[in-house]
Order: sequence, then C-alpha cells, then structure tokens
Amino acid sequence: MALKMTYNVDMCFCIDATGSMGPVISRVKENALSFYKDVTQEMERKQKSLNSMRVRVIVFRDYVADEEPMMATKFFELPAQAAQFEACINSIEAKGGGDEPEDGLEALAYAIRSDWTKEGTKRRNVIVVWTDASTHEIGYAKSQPKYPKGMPKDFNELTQWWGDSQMEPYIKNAAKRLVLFAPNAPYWQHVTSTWNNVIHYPSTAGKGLAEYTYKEIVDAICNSI
Amino acid sequence: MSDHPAKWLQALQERSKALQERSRRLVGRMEIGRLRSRPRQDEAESDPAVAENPETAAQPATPKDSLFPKLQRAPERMQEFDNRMFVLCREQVEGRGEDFYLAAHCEKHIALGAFDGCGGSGAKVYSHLDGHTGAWAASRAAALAARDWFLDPSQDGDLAACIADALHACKAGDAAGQLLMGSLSREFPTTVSMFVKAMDAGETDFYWCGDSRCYVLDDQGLHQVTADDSAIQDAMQNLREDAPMTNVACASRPFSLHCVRRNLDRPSIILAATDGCFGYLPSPMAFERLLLETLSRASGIQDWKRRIDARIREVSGDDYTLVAWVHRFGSFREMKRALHRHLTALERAYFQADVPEEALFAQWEDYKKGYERMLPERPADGERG
Amino acid sequence: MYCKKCGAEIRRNAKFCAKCGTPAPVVDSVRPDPTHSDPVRPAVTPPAGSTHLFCRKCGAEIRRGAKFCAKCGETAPSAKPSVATAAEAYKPPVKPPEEVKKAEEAPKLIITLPETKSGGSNGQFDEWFSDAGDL
Repeated sequence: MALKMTYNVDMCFCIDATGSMGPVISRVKENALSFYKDVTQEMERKQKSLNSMRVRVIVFRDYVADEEPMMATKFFELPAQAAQFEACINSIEAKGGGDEPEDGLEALAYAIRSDWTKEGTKRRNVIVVWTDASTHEIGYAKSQPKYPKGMPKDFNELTQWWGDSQMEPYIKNAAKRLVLFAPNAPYWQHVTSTWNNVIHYPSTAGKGLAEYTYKEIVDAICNSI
Repeated sequence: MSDHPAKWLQALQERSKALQERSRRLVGRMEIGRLRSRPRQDEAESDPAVAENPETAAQPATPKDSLFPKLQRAPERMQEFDNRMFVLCREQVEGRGEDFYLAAHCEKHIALGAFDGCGGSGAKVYSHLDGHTGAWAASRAAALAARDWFLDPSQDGDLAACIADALHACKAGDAAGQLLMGSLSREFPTTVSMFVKAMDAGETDFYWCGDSRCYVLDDQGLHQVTADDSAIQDAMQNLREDAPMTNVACASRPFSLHCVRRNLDRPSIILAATDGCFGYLPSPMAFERLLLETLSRASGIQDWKRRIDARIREVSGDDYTLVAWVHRFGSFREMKRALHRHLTALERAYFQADVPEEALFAQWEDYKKGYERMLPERPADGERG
Repeated sequence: MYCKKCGAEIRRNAKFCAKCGTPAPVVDSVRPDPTHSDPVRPAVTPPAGSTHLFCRKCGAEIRRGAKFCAKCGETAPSAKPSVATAAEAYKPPVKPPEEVKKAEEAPKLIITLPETKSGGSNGQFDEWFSDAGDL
C-alpha cells in the first residue's frame, strides 16, 4: 500500500485581536472544534498525513493603548485537547487597538521562541500571523511598563532570530514556515522581502481579513506544510 | 510556440498527447543491439508540428536547424535508439498527474528528462486550464519548452529562458492573477531534471533545478549527478525532513537552471527521476537496491521498467517519473551481468539485516562516498528558500 | 554534547549520535570542526582569497557567509563573497543560464467592506491566556 509523507506539525497562531479583527476571529471561533479534522482532510487530499499536531495561540494588540497587549497560551495537543483549544479560541475578544499599526513583530518574536517539538522526522513549525494592520517597528513601545525584557533590539536582530540556512538559533530552517495574512505594509513587507520560508497573503488594512474564507485559510496553512 | 496564450495552451495539450504517443512507440520492446525495421510514417503524422505542414506529413519530423549538430535522421538509427531507453510516468490520480517527462531525439543526440510540478503554490486550480492545477501545467510547459529548445535551434539557446517563457505563458492566461508574496509563493512551479547526450559518445550535459535528480548507474554503483536545490542537501537527511526547495522553475520569481557536463567513459545507465521515485524509501541505498534487484529479474528493458513501476507503486504516495538511457552496454545480458555483481556487494554491505536508525546513518556515511562521487560543487549557501 | 566523529549535536540522554551512529557519551563540550577525509571528495576548504571574520563587538569568530555574529548578534563586517555561483562552478557548455524574468509587481487590491462588529467574549480568557512575559 502506498505510504504518504507523514509530518509532525507545531503551529503558532499570532492573532491581532484589535477591534477590526472581529470577522476573522468569529470565523475561527465557528470552526475551532473542527480545525484538526479540516487540516487532516486537506492534508490527505495532498497525499500527506499528520503524525502529531500541536497548536498555541498568541493574541496581540498595542502595548501603548491596550491593557492586554500580548497574551499567550501553551501548546494544545490535537485532537486530544480539541475541546480546550475551542474554549481558548472562544475566549478571545476583538477589542481595543490604538493607532493603526499594532505590535505584531513582538508577537512574531514570541512565536519564534515557542517551545517547538524536536521529536520525530518531517517536522513543521508553522507560524500563522493574522492581522489587518501594519506593525510598529520592533521596540517601538519599549518604554511601556508591560514591555517585556529579552525582546530583539531591532529588526536585524529579529531577522537573526528567524535565521537562515546557516543559522537557526531558535527554529529549524528546514522545518519553519511563516504564513502571513497581513497587509502589504511596514514591517510585514520587510519580513516578506528578506526572510526565507515565508508566504504572504495580502489583506486590506482595517478590513478584518474579510477577503479570506476559513477554507482558504486552512488551504493556505496546509500548502505551507 | 504560438504567441497567444490560449492557442499556446491548446498546442501544449496537443503536443502533450503527441509526445506521449510518440514516446510510447519509442519505448520499444527490442533488446539492445537487435535491429528491427519499422515504418516511421505513423509517428510523423501524429506530430502536430509536422501535421501543420501537409508537405512534410509523410516525412519524419526534422528540425530546420539544430542547437547541436543535426542531420536528417535516418530510420535505422532511430530503431537502435528505441532499444536503449524507457520512460516511466505514473499518476496517483488519473488525469491529474503533476509529473511530466521529456523524450526527444535527433540524428545524433537524445534528450530525456523528468519534471515535477510542485504542490504548495502549485496547487492552485485555474479555470483557463480546464480546472487543472498550476503544477500540472508547469511540468508540461517546462517539458515541452525543453523539447522545443532541443529540437529548434532558432531558440536563442538559453534553456532557462525558454522554460521561463513557457511558464509565463501559463501565467498570462490567468485573468484573475495572483497576489501572493514571499519566498514560498511560486506560480506554476516545477522542477527540472534532464540530460542531453550524443548517442555514441560519453559527453552528457545535465540540466536541473529543484529536487528532481539525475543519476548515473554503473558497475560501481548509483551516483547522484545533480545537487538538490533544497534547504537540506544530504540525501539521507532529506528523506527524514522533506526540506523546502530553495530554487525551482516558476513564473513568479527568478530561478537558476544548473548545468554540468560529464564525460561518461564507463558503460552506464543514465537516469532522471522525480522525488516520487526515491522519496518514500528509507535510504538512498534502498533506491539503488530497488533498481538493481528489478534489473536482475528482468528479461529486457521494458520488463525492467514494469518491475520498477510495480515496486515504486507499492511505497510511493506521489506521482513519479523515471526516464532511463542505456549507454555503451553491448547487450541487455551484458548489462545485467555487470550490475549483478554490484548488487551482490551492495546487499552484503548494507542489507544483511534490519538495522536501527542510528546504524542506518552510519551506513549512509560509508555509502555516500561513492554515491556523491559525481556531485558538483554545492550552490552557494544562504539562498532564500 | 557533540559527537566526536561527525560534530552533530547529541540530545541529552541519547545513546547514539543520530547522525552517524557513534555511541555516546562524548567528551567534547566545544563543537569540533569535522574534517572528513573522503577519498573521492576533498574536504571543503575556503577558496583562495577568503578571510576569516571576527565580531567587532565580542571578538567571536563569524562563520563564512553569516550576516550576524551568532554570539552577540552584532552585524558581521562585510567580506568579499567567497562562494562560487552555480554558473561559475558548473562551466556550462552553452551560455550560462541567465537570471530569468523578474516577477511583476502585485497589483494593489482595494476592497471596501461594511463595518463589522467585533466578536463576543467570555470570562474564561484568563483561564487559557497568560501575560506573555520576559523572554
């Protein structure tokens, strides 16, 4: 019987949870419980299968304007913890946001520093960023009391964290994928034009990723694996 | 090729069928060295390039000018050529296969290749392609562009540009357009692995990009000739990780088409393969063993092809394409005998018993000294994937 | 830990090097520079004219081709590229394949949509999410 390529996948969702992101957050909530099944089915269509799958969520807003600017979960094992994952997603509220750029690069930094699994072959470490806003340069809000220690001091250092074929300090080069649902705007443009293993689905600023259906999002994630 | 994308696509589909039909006839059942006379009129009539000009319909298709020195081919030389090759191209889903192949010849040269349309971005479906994927179109467009480049020297000689033009023509027919960005976004992506050689000489030019490969199989073993454009270039490690490709022919980004010339002085079999052939096996040694074991049981070239097909189909979850050309062996029997000795040595060294993963890697370190002997210098590191 | 034979990192408590199968433990705490004496492929050596680079800030050696110091993150001093391009290394028999057409710029996508309400919430957010603290 023909074998399929079998993958061990960790995903980290970085979700812009400011007010305008209500539509896509609602779509994700509707489908959170079936997410694992949907991904598995799409992978089967592509002659691939999942050996293991873990998902974590980072919710980001604006360090200057918001009380909960950056919140994160641990990894959920799917499908065993599908109910907890659904409850987690359902608890997200789209609110706040100050100026138009949000603090997406700090979310990306946290995502890169996730506790990725190192077990098994054909590992995939997929970071999915969902935002309808441009992002401040990293460190923009470093004077804020909630701004964490240990962040990259500038975009160059964040690029170093992402790594390349010669340097992979926090995430394996062959395993990593960055799927951006974001406007073609600073600093997402910089990420797309300089980092490897990136695919960028452009969104319209301020419109809550309305142009992408849930199926298209699942398809995009599976295409990156 | 017509300038208009729609006409070009129609021509692509017609040529695709003609090429398949032509290659089916070229892949004969005759053993090496046995000449058979066979009329060639039917082949000329089915070639759309010839059919467009009724005056030449009764003659074998000949290129007007040649990139390589070409003369009007004589039928008897074509028969000898028929006895030396096979083309194996298997789709996982009928009618939706995203692999394709190249098989073309003129009087003194042959061109064979394997092309793998890539998933990911290539999975997008296009209405102007009757619902086929970008990967489906890309592998065919690249193969036919390579064939045109080989046969028609009015092309400017740059194979990479010919393939790029063909892929751009596929993209031009897409009214909706695509807005994706990033290093992983590739429209109409396909690998290329092909070789062009003089039939009676050892000089062979290999062209490739992506992770499809060319090999040389001789009495010293299997040798990978082309270096993978992959984030992981160690063949054993890549079976475990399936790393992303760092360079692939596509319509949306510049790509590099690598080229190397080798002079093959030993009797050998030259192969081009997509990763569906070797990517589902536990080691590169296992692929060599598959080739040699099936050969040892085969009664002829076509029987060998059928046995390889049956073995790969047992394990592969992907489309797969394997093309082969036999070089300098006097007969099929001689080839079997020469390679059987090596099969015995291979099995004694690596297949006496099942080994744990760690020991398999130790075996690989030993095996790869011969396997990588013909690899060229690696492309520069740090390329964006 | 690092394998003394091939230099690959060995996971804690592993019995073998996953890359070459050499039994652990090994004693080296600094990654050795593997020098395979492959009889058919010479060990990789820097081509003539390349230089070793050192970080201006911390003095650590920077690997050839690296853009940043792996120890402190300082930008690497510029150095002449020392790796041959694919075309130079392969000596193609015909004109080397040139860079093919660049991708066209993506057209701007402009969509105007009605305002949408933000999603609802429940009080369990704190159950799942914690403040993303210091790294």
